[in-house]
Amino acid sequence: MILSRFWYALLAVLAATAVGFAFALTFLYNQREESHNATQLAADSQTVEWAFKIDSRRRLDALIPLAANPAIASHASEIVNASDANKASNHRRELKKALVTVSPAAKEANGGSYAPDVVIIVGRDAHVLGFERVLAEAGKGRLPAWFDTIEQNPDFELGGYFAVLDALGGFERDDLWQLGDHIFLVAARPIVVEGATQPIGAIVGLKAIDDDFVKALAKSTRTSIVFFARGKRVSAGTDGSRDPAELDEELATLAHNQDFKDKMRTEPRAIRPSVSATFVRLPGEASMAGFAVIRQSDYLSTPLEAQVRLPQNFKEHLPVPLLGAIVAITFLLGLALTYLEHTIPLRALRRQATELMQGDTDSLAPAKLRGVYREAADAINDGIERVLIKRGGMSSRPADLSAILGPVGGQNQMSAFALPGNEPASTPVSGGPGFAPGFGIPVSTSPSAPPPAPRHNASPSAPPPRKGPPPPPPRMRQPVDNEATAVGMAPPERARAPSTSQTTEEADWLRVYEEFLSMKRQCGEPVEGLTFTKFAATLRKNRDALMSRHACTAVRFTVYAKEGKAQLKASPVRDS
Amino acid sequence: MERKQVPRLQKRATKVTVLFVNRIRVTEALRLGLLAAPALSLTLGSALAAPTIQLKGRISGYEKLVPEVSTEPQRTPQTSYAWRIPWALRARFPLLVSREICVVAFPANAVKDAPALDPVLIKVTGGRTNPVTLVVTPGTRIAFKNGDPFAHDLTSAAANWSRAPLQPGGTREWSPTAPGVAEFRDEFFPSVRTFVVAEKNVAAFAFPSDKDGSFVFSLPAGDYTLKAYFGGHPVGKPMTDVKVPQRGPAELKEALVVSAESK
Repeated sequence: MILSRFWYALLAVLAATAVGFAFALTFLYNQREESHNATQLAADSQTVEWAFKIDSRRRLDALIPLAANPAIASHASEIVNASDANKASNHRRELKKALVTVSPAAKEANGGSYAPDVVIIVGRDAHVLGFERVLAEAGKGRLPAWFDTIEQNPDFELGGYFAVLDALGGFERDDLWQLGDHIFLVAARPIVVEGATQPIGAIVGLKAIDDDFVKALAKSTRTSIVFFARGKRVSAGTDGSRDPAELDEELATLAHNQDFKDKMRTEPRAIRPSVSATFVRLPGEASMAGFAVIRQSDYLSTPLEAQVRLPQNFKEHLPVPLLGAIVAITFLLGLALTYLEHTIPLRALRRQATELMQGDTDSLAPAKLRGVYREAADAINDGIERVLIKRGGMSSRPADLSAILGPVGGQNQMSAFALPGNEPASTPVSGGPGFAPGFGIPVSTSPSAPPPAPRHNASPSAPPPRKGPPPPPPRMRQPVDNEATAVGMAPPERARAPSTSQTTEEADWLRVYEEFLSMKRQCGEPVEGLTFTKFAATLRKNRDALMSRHACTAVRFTVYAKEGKAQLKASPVRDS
Repeated sequence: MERKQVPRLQKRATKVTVLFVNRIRVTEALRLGLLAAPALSLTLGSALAAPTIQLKGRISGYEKLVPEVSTEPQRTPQTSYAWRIPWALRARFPLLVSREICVVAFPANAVKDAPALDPVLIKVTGGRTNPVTLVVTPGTRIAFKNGDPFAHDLTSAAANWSRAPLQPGGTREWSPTAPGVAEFRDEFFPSVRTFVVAEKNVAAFAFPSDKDGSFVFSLPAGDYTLKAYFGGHPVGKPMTDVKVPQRGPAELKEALVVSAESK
């Protein structure tokens, strides 16, 4: 099953690699998304700035109907040059009428999209001469209520603003003003009277950057924009998925942002894990105000999220044949390994079990099985043996000769024949009638089994004696595997010869018998009562059991001495 | 005897001059609490007792002066006005010279610990203050009044002013304690920059006219030195040995040149 296990390990490594690769791709995707988001935010802010530049020029154009109107210029000039207050007051009223009359033209100029909310006419000293609402109504949210008071406020003037000063100097100018909590787009044009060397005043148009304006700007630039001043939101134009209030915390600390102060814009800042914003400082007088462009990133928290976000046509880009081939090859390879290492041995085991059940055989043949199946077969055989012995049957175990011949008094169970007269009376166990003493034949099935110490006239094929600790007693359930069996296995050419005929085998056993008697005598053991007939019967049973158990063709017996006693060793012989 | 009287007369005459030049109505000053009635009566009484003589003059070369606040965006590109054309800035300045230049009369004989001048009102409106540059003696009370319909936040490191909203119509006072220059700014209105210069021995100050750069002093008879201040520091060449006669108005024959700086 080593191949199957290797295959499982390989599959596990491949699976882990695939998951790790998916996470790596997710990281790469998120990194690219972050970079893309930063680029997009920069592009958005640029787009908004370009939109403002275009917007400012068109707003200047929208003031032309007012600035070029003769009535407005005339009355403004009269107010500036008036010598008495009454005359100036009269011209102020006339100027107001002219503004009301001309305002619709300014409203419709440039397609009507760039008209100012209010226009203010200022004189040479930048004090207010006239005021008119073109679009917005004061005090209703779009414009602060104080606009209605500027005409009556003698202190109010616009002379400090560069746009107005430049307009009074004869130039068209635009700017951004932050007046109170409002931000205004400013366009200023000079009012020129024919024959004068300098403008007699200027007309200033103001457009509040309110929600309506920002929404239109966001729509035209395809961005999400939030304008802010003094650390607070002023207006917003975002789609429904983004709450402008998310920026509040960031806006409160923006005044301390060095990039915002020095570079006029910040790097993309994370508002929440998937939302970033870039804050841009406005130019002009409203330089402490600004706008933020917001973008939502499609970050992947896990690779599985990619499945949800994949486009519909993704399947067209999948290498389906390659994926199918990988699946098929992987499946078939795993199937083949499983069949080879699991199905085949299982079938063999099942076949043997069936034969055992039908009585075709007395035990399983572990040698025909592999790995754990062999161990299982051994265990089953041992179990059968145990049950047989327990119920008074005869064991077919080759090593358990003492059970067959009966115990030999004063002898080690593994020792060879003992004289009945020297042994205490013992009861034959099974298969050994007439054998008062028993002898044990260690079956050389374990590699740890030590070879016999001295060898006397042993078979040439017997293993050489080795020095070392005494061998452990034979174990009932010791597994038999190929290597262990081979240790005590005689060379086939030698083993095959005596098995060709019964006579040869008996002659061989006679030789073993004589060697055994000789060994016992040398060891000082009694040999009375140990006849060849008994000896041969015991060897036969032992041979049959071993042949059945190990599917060998012959069993060869050798004599050796152990701890001063004669011993027999049975070695299964197989065809090579 | 005459020497001892001169400073006192100068002080009282200067108070009247300040009220005249700055065109602050007495009623408004009273409403602001800047002048108390007893002080006013004393000042007027003293002025009547020591007549002042009008000294007329004019400045020249102011066309070449450009306010620092206008050039500031050009020097720092990161705060430049992206939607403006900076090279046209100079064309606008001559229009409103009256706010930018302060002409100051110093007595020829310097006096130790010259008294404070009368309170001066500086209006904050229209993206600037009026006047932009003011020269007074230490101890002179200065009130900033917000003339805009929205709040301002004036700050000054020299005056130790932190941000505090100056509501529409509200005032905030300060007095220089020692000679020096204090600059006041509004963080949300970059064009607002005010310079209050504290100098010893200031007899009077005046602001030129927008039309022709002319100015008028009301000074007691004596010798004076005239200096022009622009953007918080002296500019041009000081005019020395200016004599105010005992009788009749006097007029300077030469203009006070303000174009070349004379720090």
